Amino acid sequence: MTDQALPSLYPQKSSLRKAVPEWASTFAVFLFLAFLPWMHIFGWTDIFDSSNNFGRGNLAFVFAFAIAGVGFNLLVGYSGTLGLAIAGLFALGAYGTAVLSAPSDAREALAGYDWPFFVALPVICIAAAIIGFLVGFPAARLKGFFLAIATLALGELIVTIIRLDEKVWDGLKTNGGTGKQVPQFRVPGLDRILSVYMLSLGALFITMVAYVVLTNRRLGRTLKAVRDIDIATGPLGISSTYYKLLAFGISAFAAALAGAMWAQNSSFANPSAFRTRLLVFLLVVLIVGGVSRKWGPLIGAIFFVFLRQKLQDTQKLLFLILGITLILAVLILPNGIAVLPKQIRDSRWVKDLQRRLGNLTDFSL
Amino acid sequence: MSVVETTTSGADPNHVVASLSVEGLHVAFGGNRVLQGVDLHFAPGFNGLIGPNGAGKTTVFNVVSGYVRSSEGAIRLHGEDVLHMSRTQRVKAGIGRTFQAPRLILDATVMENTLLGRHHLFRWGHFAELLLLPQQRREETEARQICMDMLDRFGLADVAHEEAGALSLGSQKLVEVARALVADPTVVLLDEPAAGLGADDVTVLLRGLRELQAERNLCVIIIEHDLQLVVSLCPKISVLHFGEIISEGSPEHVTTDPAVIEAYLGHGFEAELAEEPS
Amino acid sequence: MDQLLQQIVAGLESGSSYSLIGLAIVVIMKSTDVPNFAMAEMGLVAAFMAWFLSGDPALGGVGWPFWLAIVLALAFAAVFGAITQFLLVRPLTGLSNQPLAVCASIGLGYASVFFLNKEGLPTFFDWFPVTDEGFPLWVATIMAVVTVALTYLMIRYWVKPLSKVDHFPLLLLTIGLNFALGSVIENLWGSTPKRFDAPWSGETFDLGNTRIGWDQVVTIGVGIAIAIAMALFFWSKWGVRMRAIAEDGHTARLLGINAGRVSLIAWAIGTFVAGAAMILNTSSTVLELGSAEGLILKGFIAAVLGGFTSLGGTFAGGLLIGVGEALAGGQISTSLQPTIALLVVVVVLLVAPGGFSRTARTREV
Repeated sequence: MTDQALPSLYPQKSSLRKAVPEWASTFAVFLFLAFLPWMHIFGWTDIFDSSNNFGRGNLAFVFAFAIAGVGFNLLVGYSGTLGLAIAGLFALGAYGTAVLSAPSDAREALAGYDWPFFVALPVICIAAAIIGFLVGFPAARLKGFFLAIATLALGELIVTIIRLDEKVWDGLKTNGGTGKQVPQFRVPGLDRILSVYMLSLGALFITMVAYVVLTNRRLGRTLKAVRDIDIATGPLGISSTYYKLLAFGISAFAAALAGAMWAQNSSFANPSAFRTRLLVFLLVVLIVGGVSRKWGPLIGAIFFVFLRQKLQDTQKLLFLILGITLILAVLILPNGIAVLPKQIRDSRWVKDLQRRLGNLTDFSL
Repeated sequence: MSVVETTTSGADPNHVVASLSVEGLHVAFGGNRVLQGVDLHFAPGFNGLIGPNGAGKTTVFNVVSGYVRSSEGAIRLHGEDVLHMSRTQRVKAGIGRTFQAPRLILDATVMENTLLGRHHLFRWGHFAELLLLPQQRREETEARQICMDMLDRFGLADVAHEEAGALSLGSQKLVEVARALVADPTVVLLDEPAAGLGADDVTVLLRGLRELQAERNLCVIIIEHDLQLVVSLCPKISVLHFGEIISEGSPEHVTTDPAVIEAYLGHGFEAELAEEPS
Repeated sequence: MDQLLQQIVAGLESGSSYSLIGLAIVVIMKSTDVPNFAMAEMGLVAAFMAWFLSGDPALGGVGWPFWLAIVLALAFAAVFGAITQFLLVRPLTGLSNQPLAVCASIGLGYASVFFLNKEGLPTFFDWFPVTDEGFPLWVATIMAVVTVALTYLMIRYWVKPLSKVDHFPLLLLTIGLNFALGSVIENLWGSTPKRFDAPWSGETFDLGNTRIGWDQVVTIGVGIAIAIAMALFFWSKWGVRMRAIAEDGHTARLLGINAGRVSLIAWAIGTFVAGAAMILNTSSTVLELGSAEGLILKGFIAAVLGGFTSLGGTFAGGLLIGVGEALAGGQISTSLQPTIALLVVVVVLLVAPGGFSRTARTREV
């Protein structure tokens, strides 16, 4: 131990950032989103006009996709494993909650097991996490593209199981390939859309807080070690297999939660909605927003839902544009939109400007 | 052809309890026999492991830390066999190591990289972390304190919150040494810690290592090409050549051993080297 | 017995096209080290091209002779593969993005002159407070020139070439390409299934008591011929270079092998083979957008069985899947067929990631 004062144990941010701690800015964003339905500030965007049901529904979709994006981000951005089973797990969340919470005495499209929604939701999410954990076993054995193909196949497998005929498996109650009606959970005192909005926002809030807490601390750095210095994790006492499995489990949990929220919002689930198409949607959400960025998935989800609503009449064009977006995002903006401010801040002319400003007035940005 | 001398200094395994001893290591990659019956005993203190390129030095480290399986032989840590242990278990048993090329997370801070070394010492799991339990937070703060002290010893406290990728290669290697040491090991394997370091960094590294060794009675095993450094630091040096120990003992003994000189320079240079003792 | 023979021949027929897709995937994997998820879609473009060129003018075709159409379509496929590599894959393998910058900016410039002059801002920008009518040509031209310049500069100078070859962006690129191509096909030719008749379609002959279609013979024969041609290619000058790149790209480059050109040739060949596979497959079934989806998965299974390296293993793997599928189709329910296929992928990857090949390549993405 030396007598001289050591630097702080926790990183010192620049003065502006230090003034607002990370938890406070996160809470502020969510507080703002919670009161957004009663504000009329996004009326000009039409799609995200939070004063009417259309805008609120779209925002709820944004939240649902962002939840899946956050989990995907932990898997891809932090642990560096490209697991593509996410579409299947999303479907599991959507169908699982729908089947479990549906009344048992109803007709085919709405038949289920009569569980309360708030029992069905955690059960399905934990089931998904366990499946994710099992899906992760290839991660322990396989590397790189083998893993990508195996997990893609597993995701598809879940969807094909959902599509199975009643004749093959009677208790499944997914109503085959024709689709399933989703029973709504209603938050007391709110109308349908507002209830979905608040439910999705709450789920996103929990996901986001968990993400911030976990990635800023031990789990975050350990997953980064698995991603970047996998070969050296042994002599650090880190079991990289365990952490890959854990990342799969957490992302599966988030994907199922997102699927449940999506189903609550769209009130009807169709197996064909969960094919490779959904994987591409979620990849767009992740990549456009920016891999391993906190607000990346939310930004990506806003972009995606905006595009989807704008091009709703021309679905064919939507897919073309999303495909091209994914290609261009990979080629041009490999770090995503959320990195833009940092990219600009680090660029040479901004540094130059800061230096000149710093000479004039001595405040740091 | 192996000339094993163990009587010249106090490094006789019969008198001092070896922290780490490897016996009869045999490793072959395909037909290439890298280690052919290596016996080494390392006591607390500084131990040098030198030899020409391709002699199998790093392979010894890889066997000890569990990257390479030895087809026969034994590895004993304080008398306990670790051969059956996984890499992670060996760390918990007290073997720390660094790599020739620094293996750091470049976009994480120096502090975070160093904290990785304490990973296996955390008692609370990630669920406690998620719930922000006070015990877990205290543990994290303690770990940060220990890491900051360690970084301070190696003159890295000022850059603790900078990204590791922004550091020079020398500083990165120091970070790796610090990361190996915060894990509270009893045996530390340092693979060329001074290669690529500037003179100042080497001074800091040696001072830090000497202090820690004295405080904790560590067994430090160093692979190094800088013979001068090894000679000045290690009372006991082992020389590896083509997978065999050709000489072992005090620096004076090893540097004048004709077998060593031949291994490094080939025939005909014995006289030249003898003229300039370093 | 006769039925069994018939099923085996049918299995060999479909297996032949699975094998060819698998071979195309392996060729690209060898040179560029990416599993091309867009392989079947790229081949499908060629199949649609062949249908379009040879089709009845009354049904929207051009009506050229069948063989001319086939030759042109396959030539188009090779060029298309090469262009894809040149524009999209090259920048991601650490080579110059100049071609992409030039093409993207010219394309965007043309599109903006067209839209700004004819229709004003697209409806996509309807929230932007500008007139709905078209701009005068000179205004549109100025705006387009600015767009071109900005796009070019952005891609050329802002986007930093990747310092290391990362497989994750490449993988995403092929997923995006897969999606975009599917939607291009849908936009150009619609999503209704089409009959694509070859001269041999419908012709049959009897072998003992078994009726065998000429299309089956042609498909199997062409498949074997292409596989042999590819095996021979790998002993030619470029083939040896390609194997060198696959074995150790870094050393191969140091020895003066132009990795970019090898990759270009591989993409051309891969797309050519995939085009042939899709033409054979669609001429014996129907030509539709969904044809690619099933084939890419089977192609991947074949490639996995060949350990992504062995041509023989891949070819045999494809045939095995085809025969297995045909035999299983007779015995087991067809509803379970996709589930079984997916299970095979997962199980094979888990149990034997190397497939038939002893030297499987397990690389990190």
